[in-house]
Amino acid sequence: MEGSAIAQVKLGDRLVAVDALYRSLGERDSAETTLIVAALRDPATADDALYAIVMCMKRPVQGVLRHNWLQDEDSVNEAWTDCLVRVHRRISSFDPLRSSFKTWVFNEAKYAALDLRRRDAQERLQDRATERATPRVETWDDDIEPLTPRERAGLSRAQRRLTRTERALLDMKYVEGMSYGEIAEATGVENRDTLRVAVFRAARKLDRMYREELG
Amino acid sequence: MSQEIDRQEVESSVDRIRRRNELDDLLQGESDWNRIGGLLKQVSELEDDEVEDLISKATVSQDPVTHEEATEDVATARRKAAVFQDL
Repeated sequence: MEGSAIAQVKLGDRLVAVDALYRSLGERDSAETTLIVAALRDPATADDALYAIVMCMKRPVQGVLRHNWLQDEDSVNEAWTDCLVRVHRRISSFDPLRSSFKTWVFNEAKYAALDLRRRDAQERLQDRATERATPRVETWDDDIEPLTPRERAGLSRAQRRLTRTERALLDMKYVEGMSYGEIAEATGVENRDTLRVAVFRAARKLDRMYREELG
Repeated sequence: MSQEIDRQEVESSVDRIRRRNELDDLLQGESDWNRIGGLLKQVSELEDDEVEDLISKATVSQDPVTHEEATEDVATARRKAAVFQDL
């Protein structure tokens, strides 16, 4: 790659080595995490912070996006840009008690990729006029009341009590945000009422088991 | 994510509720169950160790990011966000 490689980036009034910054952002409550969060929140330094994130995280984030969620390079680049927008817009949602800053950025990248896939799939469906109405594009921007560690563990246990099919259906509907048309396409079950009922039943079962797990 | 499902499991579950009234009840109650989606999104969040695992399995370019590339990325994000008046 041509161009000037940068070894250090500016964070506040400090210069930080790119490699060291990447390592530090993977640690909970590092000084560099505090600096980059503060910089992102300040309009005067937000660009410096985004620049630093690009310098140290672009390659690994794009590698993971490409490996797991997106196939073509244009989509990987678009999701990366969306990730940067999300990181700036949603910095107030970062909680150092829940994850490292690095993990939080990877989650934002994952959500950007899933939103992109969802938009692309809906555009394809609309192009083929197979949906009667335009479904609402659900995004990962919704701020959700965070689960406590106990609730999170209970929900994970409840999920494991579902069948593989039930987990897959709920994942497609609620995590991937697929429409019933997309689920029909992905699974080969063409009757959407059948899918609706199956998803509904899986959700109801998960809810019941979740309540049981919480006692 | 695996999209393999047991079609027989899905379709037979509906066989048991052929009565139209029951199906209507399920569909009417569907929106109430969207809250489970919010919960599922949270447990689908990557944890610190999962991120390291994903990175280890991915092919990560070793090309350093250049100043020009990083500057362009930030500018592109700004342009995109400006459409939504975010940045």
